[in-house]
Amino acid sequence: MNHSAPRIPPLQRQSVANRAATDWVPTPDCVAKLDRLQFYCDQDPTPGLRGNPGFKSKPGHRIKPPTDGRFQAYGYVHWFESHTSGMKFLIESARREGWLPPYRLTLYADDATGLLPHEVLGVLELLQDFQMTTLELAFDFPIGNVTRKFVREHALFGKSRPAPSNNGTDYLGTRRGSKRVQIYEKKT
Amino acid sequence: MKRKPELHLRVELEARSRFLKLYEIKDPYDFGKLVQILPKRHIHFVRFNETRLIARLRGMGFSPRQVREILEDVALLHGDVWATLNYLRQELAMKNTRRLLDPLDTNDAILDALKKWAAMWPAAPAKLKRM
Repeated sequence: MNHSAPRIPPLQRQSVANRAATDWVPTPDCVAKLDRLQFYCDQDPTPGLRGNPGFKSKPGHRIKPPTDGRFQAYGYVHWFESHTSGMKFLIESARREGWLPPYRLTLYADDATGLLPHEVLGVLELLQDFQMTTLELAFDFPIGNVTRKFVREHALFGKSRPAPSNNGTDYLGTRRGSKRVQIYEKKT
Repeated sequence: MKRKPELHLRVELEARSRFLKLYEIKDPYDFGKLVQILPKRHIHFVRFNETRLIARLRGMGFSPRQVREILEDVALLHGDVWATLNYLRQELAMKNTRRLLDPLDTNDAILDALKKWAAMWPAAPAKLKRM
Protein backbone atom coordinates (compact mmCIF):
# COMPACT_ATOMS: atom_id res chain seq x y z
CA MET A 1 0.00 0.00 0.00
CA ASN A 2 1.39 3.39 -0.93
CA HIS A 3 1.42 5.83 2.03
CA SER A 4 3.00 8.77 0.20
CA ALA A 5 1.05 12.05 -0.12
CA PRO A 6 -1.30 12.24 -3.11
CA ARG A 7 0.16 14.01 -6.08
CA ILE A 8 -1.33 17.43 -6.69
CA PRO A 9 -0.88 19.01 -10.11
CA PRO A 10 1.30 22.18 -9.90
CA LEU A 11 -1.55 24.59 -10.71
CA GLN A 12 -3.87 23.11 -8.10
CA ARG A 13 -1.05 23.04 -5.53
CA GLN A 14 -0.44 26.73 -6.09
CA SER A 15 -4.11 27.61 -5.66
CA VAL A 16 -4.28 25.65 -2.40
CA ALA A 17 -1.19 27.48 -1.11
CA ASN A 18 -2.65 30.87 -2.07
CA ARG A 19 -5.93 30.06 -0.38
CA ALA A 20 -4.10 29.09 2.79
CA ALA A 21 -2.23 32.40 2.80
CA THR A 22 -5.09 34.77 2.00
CA ASP A 23 -8.32 33.08 3.05
CA TRP A 24 -7.27 31.92 6.50
CA VAL A 25 -9.80 32.89 9.13
CA PRO A 26 -9.96 31.85 12.76
CA THR A 27 -12.42 29.10 13.62
CA PRO A 28 -12.62 29.62 17.34
CA ASP A 29 -14.39 27.85 20.13
CA CYS A 30 -17.13 30.26 20.97
CA VAL A 31 -19.25 30.13 24.13
CA ALA A 32 -22.62 31.86 24.40
CA LYS A 33 -23.73 33.11 27.81
CA LEU A 34 -26.73 35.02 29.04
CA ASP A 35 -25.19 38.04 30.74
CA ARG A 36 -28.05 40.21 31.90
CA LEU A 37 -31.84 40.20 31.95
CA GLN A 38 -34.14 43.03 32.87
CA PHE A 39 -37.85 43.01 33.64
CA TYR A 40 -40.50 45.51 34.62
CA CYS A 41 -43.26 44.54 37.01
CA ASP A 42 -46.32 46.25 38.48
CA GLN A 43 -46.39 44.47 41.83
CA ASP A 44 -43.66 44.56 44.45
CA PRO A 45 -41.61 41.34 44.06
CA THR A 46 -39.49 41.97 47.18
CA PRO A 47 -41.53 40.00 49.78
CA GLY A 48 -41.69 36.90 47.56
CA LEU A 49 -38.00 37.01 46.70
CA ARG A 50 -36.94 37.57 50.32
CA GLY A 51 -38.28 34.11 51.07
CA ASN A 52 -36.18 32.45 48.35
CA PRO A 53 -33.61 30.26 50.15
CA GLY A 54 -31.13 30.39 47.25
CA PHE A 55 -30.48 34.11 47.69
CA LYS A 56 -29.18 36.35 50.42
CA SER A 57 -31.05 39.64 50.82
CA LYS A 58 -28.84 42.72 51.29
CA PRO A 59 -30.19 45.84 52.99
CA GLY A 60 -32.00 48.17 50.58
CA HIS A 61 -30.88 51.77 50.20
CA ARG A 62 -31.80 55.02 48.49
CA ILE A 63 -29.92 56.14 45.36
CA LYS A 64 -28.77 59.73 45.15
CA PRO A 65 -29.60 61.40 41.82
CA PRO A 66 -26.41 61.77 39.72
CA THR A 67 -24.75 65.16 40.07
CA ASP A 68 -23.91 65.35 36.33
CA GLY A 69 -27.61 65.65 35.42
CA ARG A 70 -28.03 62.13 34.04
CA PHE A 71 -31.47 60.61 34.39
CA GLN A 72 -31.86 58.21 37.30
CA ALA A 73 -35.05 56.22 36.76
CA TYR A 74 -35.52 54.81 40.26
CA GLY A 75 -34.73 56.08 43.73
CA TYR A 76 -34.50 52.90 45.82
CA VAL A 77 -32.55 49.69 45.26
CA HIS A 78 -32.53 46.30 46.96
CA TRP A 79 -29.79 43.76 46.13
CA PHE A 80 -29.93 39.97 46.40
CA GLU A 81 -26.91 37.66 46.01
CA SER A 82 -26.84 33.97 45.19
CA HIS A 83 -25.44 31.65 47.87
CA THR A 84 -23.86 29.31 45.32
CA SER A 85 -22.47 31.56 42.54
CA GLY A 86 -21.56 35.13 41.66
CA MET A 87 -25.05 35.71 40.25
CA LYS A 88 -26.95 38.64 41.77
CA PHE A 89 -30.03 40.69 41.07
CA LEU A 90 -31.56 43.94 42.17
CA ILE A 91 -35.03 45.36 42.52
CA GLU A 92 -35.42 49.06 41.84
CA SER A 93 -38.43 50.97 43.13
CA ALA A 94 -39.52 54.56 43.97
CA ARG A 95 -39.77 55.60 40.32
CA ARG A 96 -38.87 59.20 39.58
CA GLU A 97 -41.32 59.61 36.66
CA GLY A 98 -44.97 58.54 36.40
CA TRP A 99 -44.54 56.85 33.00
CA LEU A 100 -42.10 54.31 34.41
CA PRO A 101 -43.40 50.94 35.64
CA PRO A 102 -43.37 50.76 39.46
CA TYR A 103 -40.64 48.11 39.78
CA ARG A 104 -37.60 47.09 37.75
CA LEU A 105 -35.77 43.82 38.25
CA THR A 106 -32.27 43.25 36.80
CA LEU A 107 -30.43 39.92 36.91
CA TYR A 108 -26.61 39.90 36.53
CA ALA A 109 -24.72 36.74 35.67
CA ASP A 110 -21.70 35.13 37.25
CA ASP A 111 -19.00 35.88 34.64
CA ALA A 112 -17.84 32.27 34.48
CA THR A 113 -21.19 30.63 33.78
CA GLY A 114 -23.65 33.27 32.60
CA LEU A 115 -27.22 33.24 33.87
CA LEU A 116 -28.38 29.67 34.24
CA PRO A 117 -31.95 28.43 33.74
CA HIS A 118 -32.49 27.42 37.39
CA GLU A 119 -31.33 30.87 38.56
CA VAL A 120 -33.58 32.80 36.18
CA LEU A 121 -36.62 30.57 36.51
CA GLY A 122 -36.12 30.45 40.31
CA VAL A 123 -36.60 34.21 40.39
CA LEU A 124 -39.31 34.52 37.75
CA GLU A 125 -41.57 31.85 39.27
CA LEU A 126 -41.96 34.13 42.30
CA LEU A 127 -43.14 37.10 40.23
CA GLN A 128 -46.85 37.56 39.63
CA ASP A 129 -46.40 39.60 36.46
CA PHE A 130 -43.41 40.73 34.46
CA GLN A 131 -42.41 42.15 31.14
CA MET A 132 -38.97 41.37 29.77
CA THR A 133 -37.28 44.54 28.50
CA THR A 134 -33.60 43.73 28.04
CA LEU A 135 -31.70 40.58 27.17
CA GLU A 136 -27.92 40.67 26.98
CA LEU A 137 -26.24 37.74 25.29
CA ALA A 138 -22.44 37.42 25.33
CA PHE A 139 -20.28 35.45 22.90
CA ASP A 140 -16.84 34.70 24.38
CA PHE A 141 -13.94 33.90 22.01
CA PRO A 142 -10.43 32.82 23.07
CA ILE A 143 -8.34 35.97 22.70
CA GLY A 144 -5.68 34.57 20.36
CA ASN A 145 -8.09 33.68 17.58
CA VAL A 146 -10.52 36.54 17.38
CA THR A 147 -9.42 40.08 18.12
CA ARG A 148 -11.23 43.41 18.34
CA LYS A 149 -9.70 44.35 14.98
CA PHE A 150 -11.01 41.17 13.38
CA VAL A 151 -14.53 41.78 14.70
CA ARG A 152 -14.43 45.45 13.69
CA GLU A 153 -13.42 44.52 10.16
CA HIS A 154 -15.48 41.39 9.54
CA ALA A 155 -18.60 41.46 11.68
CA LEU A 156 -21.97 42.88 10.66
CA PHE A 157 -24.67 43.31 13.30
CA GLY A 158 -27.77 43.92 11.21
CA LYS A 159 -28.24 47.62 10.57
CA SER A 160 -26.32 48.70 13.68
CA ARG A 161 -23.70 51.34 12.86
CA PRO A 162 -20.30 51.62 14.52
CA ALA A 163 -20.22 54.22 17.28
CA PRO A 164 -17.10 55.86 18.79
CA SER A 165 -14.95 53.48 20.85
CA ASN A 166 -14.32 54.24 24.50
CA ASN A 167 -11.93 52.77 27.09
CA GLY A 168 -10.97 49.74 25.02
CA THR A 169 -14.56 48.94 24.07
CA ASP A 170 -16.03 49.12 20.58
CA TYR A 171 -19.72 49.97 20.28
CA LEU A 172 -22.27 49.46 17.54
CA GLY A 173 -25.81 50.80 17.59
CA THR A 174 -27.31 53.81 19.31
CA ARG A 175 -28.26 54.41 22.92
CA ARG A 176 -31.96 54.33 22.08
CA GLY A 177 -31.97 51.70 19.34
CA SER A 178 -33.51 48.25 19.55
CA LYS A 179 -30.09 46.62 19.77
CA ARG A 180 -26.60 47.61 20.92
CA VAL A 181 -23.35 45.69 20.60
CA GLN A 182 -20.22 46.00 22.72
CA ILE A 183 -16.89 44.36 21.92
CA TYR A 184 -14.20 44.23 24.61
CA GLU A 185 -11.63 41.99 26.28
CA LYS A 186 -12.73 40.35 29.49
CA LYS A 187 -11.19 38.04 32.08
CA THR A 188 -13.51 35.16 32.91
CA MET B 1 -7.86 24.97 43.53
CA LYS B 2 -8.93 28.32 42.14
CA ARG B 3 -9.04 28.53 38.36
CA LYS B 4 -6.79 31.16 36.77
CA PRO B 5 -8.91 33.72 34.90
CA GLU B 6 -8.52 33.60 31.13
CA LEU B 7 -8.68 36.56 28.80
CA HIS B 8 -11.50 36.39 26.25
CA LEU B 9 -12.87 38.65 23.61
CA ARG B 10 -16.48 39.31 24.45
CA VAL B 11 -19.07 40.31 21.87
CA GLU B 12 -22.08 41.41 23.84
CA LEU B 13 -25.40 41.80 22.09
CA GLU B 14 -28.01 43.76 24.03
CA ALA B 15 -31.53 43.19 22.73
CA ARG B 16 -33.91 45.83 23.98
CA SER B 17 -37.65 46.10 24.37
CA ARG B 18 -38.44 46.84 20.70
CA PHE B 19 -36.31 43.92 19.54
CA LEU B 20 -37.93 41.53 22.03
CA LYS B 21 -41.44 42.68 21.05
CA LEU B 22 -40.69 42.35 17.33
CA TYR B 23 -39.53 38.73 17.70
CA GLU B 24 -42.08 37.88 20.42
CA ILE B 25 -39.56 36.93 23.07
CA LYS B 26 -41.60 37.30 26.24
CA ASP B 27 -39.91 34.97 28.71
CA PRO B 28 -37.08 32.40 28.96
CA TYR B 29 -39.26 29.80 27.23
CA ASP B 30 -38.82 31.81 24.02
CA PHE B 31 -35.00 31.85 24.11
CA GLY B 32 -34.89 28.96 21.62
CA LYS B 33 -36.18 31.37 18.96
CA LEU B 34 -32.88 33.25 19.09
CA VAL B 35 -31.13 30.39 17.27
CA GLN B 36 -33.19 31.25 14.19
CA ILE B 37 -33.21 35.02 14.72
CA LEU B 38 -29.62 36.05 15.52
CA PRO B 39 -27.28 34.28 13.08
CA LYS B 40 -26.91 36.02 9.72
CA ARG B 41 -29.52 38.71 10.45
CA HIS B 42 -28.03 40.19 13.63
CA ILE B 43 -24.55 38.71 13.88
CA HIS B 44 -22.70 37.76 10.75
CA PHE B 45 -18.96 37.41 10.06
CA VAL B 46 -18.07 38.02 6.43
CA ARG B 47 -15.30 38.89 4.04
CA PHE B 48 -15.67 41.29 1.14
CA ASN B 49 -15.30 39.61 -2.25
CA GLU B 50 -13.62 41.97 -4.72
CA THR B 51 -14.13 39.65 -7.68
CA ARG B 52 -17.88 39.90 -7.23
CA LEU B 53 -17.59 43.68 -6.94
CA ILE B 54 -15.72 43.90 -10.23
CA ALA B 55 -18.34 41.76 -11.96
CA ARG B 56 -21.12 43.90 -10.48
CA LEU B 57 -19.43 47.16 -11.51
CA ARG B 58 -18.97 45.88 -15.04
CA GLY B 59 -22.62 44.88 -15.09
CA MET B 60 -23.57 48.38 -13.97
CA GLY B 61 -21.77 49.81 -17.02
CA PHE B 62 -18.68 51.33 -15.38
CA SER B 63 -15.63 51.70 -17.63
CA PRO B 64 -12.42 49.79 -16.73
CA ARG B 65 -10.85 53.07 -15.56
CA GLN B 66 -13.80 53.84 -13.28
CA VAL B 67 -13.71 50.29 -11.93
CA ARG B 68 -10.02 50.73 -11.10
CA GLU B 69 -10.71 54.03 -9.30
CA ILE B 70 -13.50 52.45 -7.27
CA LEU B 71 -11.25 49.52 -6.32
CA GLU B 72 -8.60 51.99 -5.18
CA ASP B 73 -11.18 53.71 -2.98
CA VAL B 74 -12.30 50.35 -1.58
CA ALA B 75 -8.67 49.41 -0.85
CA LEU B 76 -8.35 52.55 1.30
CA LEU B 77 -10.98 51.14 3.65
CA HIS B 78 -8.54 48.38 4.70
CA GLY B 79 -10.94 45.46 4.53
CA ASP B 80 -13.48 47.04 6.87
CA VAL B 81 -16.65 45.38 5.62
CA TRP B 82 -19.15 47.80 7.15
CA ALA B 83 -17.30 50.85 5.80
CA THR B 84 -16.93 49.27 2.36
CA LEU B 85 -20.62 48.44 2.07
CA ASN B 86 -21.52 51.91 3.32
CA TYR B 87 -19.27 53.46 0.68
CA LEU B 88 -20.83 51.38 -2.10
CA ARG B 89 -24.36 52.21 -0.96
CA GLN B 90 -23.79 55.92 -0.42
CA GLU B 91 -21.38 56.80 -3.22
CA LEU B 92 -22.43 54.39 -5.97
CA ALA B 93 -26.10 53.93 -4.95
CA MET B 94 -25.47 50.19 -5.12
CA LYS B 95 -28.24 47.91 -3.88
CA ASN B 96 -28.07 44.39 -2.43
CA THR B 97 -24.48 44.93 -1.39
CA ARG B 98 -24.63 41.89 0.90
CA ARG B 99 -24.39 39.73 -2.21
CA LEU B 100 -20.76 40.85 -2.45
CA LEU B 101 -19.88 39.11 0.82
CA ASP B 102 -18.56 35.65 1.62
CA PRO B 103 -19.50 34.18 5.01
CA LEU B 104 -16.68 33.09 7.34
CA ASP B 105 -16.38 29.92 9.41
CA THR B 106 -16.76 32.01 12.58
CA ASN B 107 -20.52 31.97 11.88
CA ASP B 108 -20.59 28.20 12.39
CA ALA B 109 -18.85 28.59 15.75
CA ILE B 110 -21.45 31.18 16.79
CA LEU B 111 -24.34 29.02 15.62
CA ASP B 112 -22.98 26.01 17.52
CA ALA B 113 -22.52 28.08 20.69
CA LEU B 114 -26.01 29.53 20.36
CA LYS B 115 -27.55 26.08 19.83
CA LYS B 116 -25.75 24.73 22.91
CA TRP B 117 -26.90 27.69 24.98
CA ALA B 118 -30.50 27.52 23.76
CA ALA B 119 -30.65 23.77 24.47
CA MET B 120 -30.19 24.52 28.19
CA TRP B 121 -33.45 26.45 28.35
CA PRO B 122 -36.83 24.72 28.55
CA ALA B 123 -39.24 25.43 25.72
CA ALA B 124 -42.34 25.21 27.95
CA PRO B 125 -43.12 25.21 31.67
CA ALA B 126 -42.61 21.78 33.22
CA LYS B 127 -45.83 19.90 34.00
CA LEU B 128 -46.49 18.87 37.58
CA LYS B 129 -46.05 15.14 38.06
CA ARG B 130 -48.87 12.95 39.42
CA MET B 131 -48.19 11.60 42.89
